[in-house]
Amino acid sequence: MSTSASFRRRLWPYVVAVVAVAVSLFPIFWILTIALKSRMDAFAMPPVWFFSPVWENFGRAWSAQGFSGAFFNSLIVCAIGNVLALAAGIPAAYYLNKRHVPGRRTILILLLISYMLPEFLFIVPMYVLFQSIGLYDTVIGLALIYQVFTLPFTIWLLRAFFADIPEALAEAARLEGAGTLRIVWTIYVPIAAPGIAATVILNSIKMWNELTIALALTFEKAQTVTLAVAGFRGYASIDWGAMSAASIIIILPMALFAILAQRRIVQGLSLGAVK
Amino acid sequence: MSAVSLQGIDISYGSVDVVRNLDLDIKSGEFVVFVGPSGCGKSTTLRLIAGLEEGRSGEISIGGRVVNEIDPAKRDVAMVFQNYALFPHMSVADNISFGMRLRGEAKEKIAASVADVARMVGLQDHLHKRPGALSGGQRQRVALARAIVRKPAVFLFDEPLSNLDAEFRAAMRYELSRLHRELGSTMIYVTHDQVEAMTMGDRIAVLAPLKQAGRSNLMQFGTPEEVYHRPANLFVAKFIGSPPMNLFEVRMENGEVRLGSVSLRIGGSIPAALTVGIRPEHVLINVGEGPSIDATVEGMENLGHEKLWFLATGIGRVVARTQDNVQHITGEKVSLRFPGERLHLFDSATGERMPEDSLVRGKG
Ligand SMILES: Nc1ncnc2c1ncn2[C@@H]1O[C@H](COP(=O)(O)OP(=O)(O)O)[C@@H](O)[C@H]1O
Ligand SMILES: [Mg+2]
Repeated sequence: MSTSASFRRRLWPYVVAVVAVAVSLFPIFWILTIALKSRMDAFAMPPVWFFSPVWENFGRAWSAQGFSGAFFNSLIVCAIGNVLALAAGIPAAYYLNKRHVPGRRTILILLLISYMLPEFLFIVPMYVLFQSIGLYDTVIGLALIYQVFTLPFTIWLLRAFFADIPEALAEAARLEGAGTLRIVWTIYVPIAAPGIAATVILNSIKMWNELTIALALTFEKAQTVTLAVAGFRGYASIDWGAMSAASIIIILPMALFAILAQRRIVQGLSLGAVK
Repeated sequence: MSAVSLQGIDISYGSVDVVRNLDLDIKSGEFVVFVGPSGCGKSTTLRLIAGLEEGRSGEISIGGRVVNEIDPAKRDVAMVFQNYALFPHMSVADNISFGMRLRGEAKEKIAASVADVARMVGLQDHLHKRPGALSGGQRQRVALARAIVRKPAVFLFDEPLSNLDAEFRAAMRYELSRLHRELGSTMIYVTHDQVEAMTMGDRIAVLAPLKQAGRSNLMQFGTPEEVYHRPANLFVAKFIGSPPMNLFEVRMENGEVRLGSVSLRIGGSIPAALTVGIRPEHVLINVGEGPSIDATVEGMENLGHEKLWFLATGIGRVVARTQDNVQHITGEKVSLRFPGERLHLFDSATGERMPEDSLVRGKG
């Protein structure tokens, strides 16, 4: 009896986990089935559960006008966005941890507010500004404007990771003759690497999925994947098969990233706990 | 020439003073221990010498050179931190050679130095490991090796043994003393543990928190013998020695003070209130002749090699330390005698030790 009780106790977490995974993955599963069905099967009522998968939707999606270009645009925006966020965020996080930075709290609160403001607030002023300085419809411009949320997020997260690194490490390095730049680069960055990786992943997901700003500040050259997917909605009809296939394609890089980096994320987000 | 000299050092954090009026001259090759209760400014002072902390005023010299404005890395000091401050992402060898690599020294020279130092502290089999894979004692050695490899004029230790268990601490105490003899360098060692201070220090600087101190934190700077046998004030008398010195506050009457039934004659200029002290090992139980103090045995702690007796008297609780073969039973009436030459006299108001000739005739 006691063994069956303990078995039930151990079973519950699995039941909960399975339900949670099923609920959160169901939409993706549904989209995947549409992407793999022929046009006939896709909207059959009642739904067809057994069908022979077809791949033509994926081919049509990838070769659709602008889609592959948008895919690479998004990759580049993520890359530049992360480089910018880290280049400014690492030094900022390091200094904002120091006791003697005046106005430290204010700066941190302002960053948090900037992170929380809704994206559409930036659209009108930035549209005008970007038009006039030539950043409209460029990937650089997008990567720059995305800093309004990636940079505060990066600073806040890295600051927490850096705070777990004992000050004495920096002091020991300083006694050996290391300057601030070297201390950050040879001590803080490598020790916080899992945290930095987690930050990059979370930033990438956010930038990859961003729609509002991209819609307003790009037109054609710099279109991103979210816009490209929306583009399958024609005037008269929607190519559900290709749109679903495109959705799956754009989920893939992030899913791959998440799977590859999952250990890093967990490690990073629990950096303090394992110290 | 003094290896380290502090003149009129004041340190504060914001508006809070932590160290005041600190003057200290440390001789070349000396092992000096800063000892005092937690929060008295020991670490702060050590960090000031290293250059990690700035004073409000005063002059710091190392090897005859004023270093107030000199970068920490150029002060010719190496520091061993309380929590070791090892770089967790580097191997033991890389931890030890961090500074040499930074200064761009030749690979062969680095390898030779690392091997030398590793042998010295017994780490030769662990050079490729990360600090996380080492025991506390081994981490301690890495921190030590990282300091030794710099060949500094002055070593600074901030409670380096406080994270080790007792058994290991004793062994490391001995090793550090051996290292000091071998290297002949000046060492400054911070601890709150008076056993470490007494066993390791050539000289001991006893520091007090400012709110208990007078014009300076420095309560006494002397050899272990001086600090133990001639404490300069009540603070040192209470802080050094375990169990602590027995202290009795007494009043003057006609040039005499009465300690129970015993009277002491005091000469010189006499303060209104005196504190008389005697160490537990100097209290005699049922030994000797003449005036004595009646006491009742309240309890005993047997430490194996010695016994501690807790005695109730008319002047208060007295602790006595005897050899292990002394026998008394709880409740037994005994008589205590305090040899005059073993008494310490302090001015109760200032806490300062009275001149040695104050005690004209100690009876009993
Ligand atoms: N960074 C700091 N900011 C403010 N107060 C500090 C700081 N570091 C130490 N103190 C204070 O200075 C006093 C002395 O500290 P410390 O030198 O670390 O003492 P010790 O090493 O003797 O235990 C303590 O009261 C402590 O609270
Ligand atoms: Mg300390």
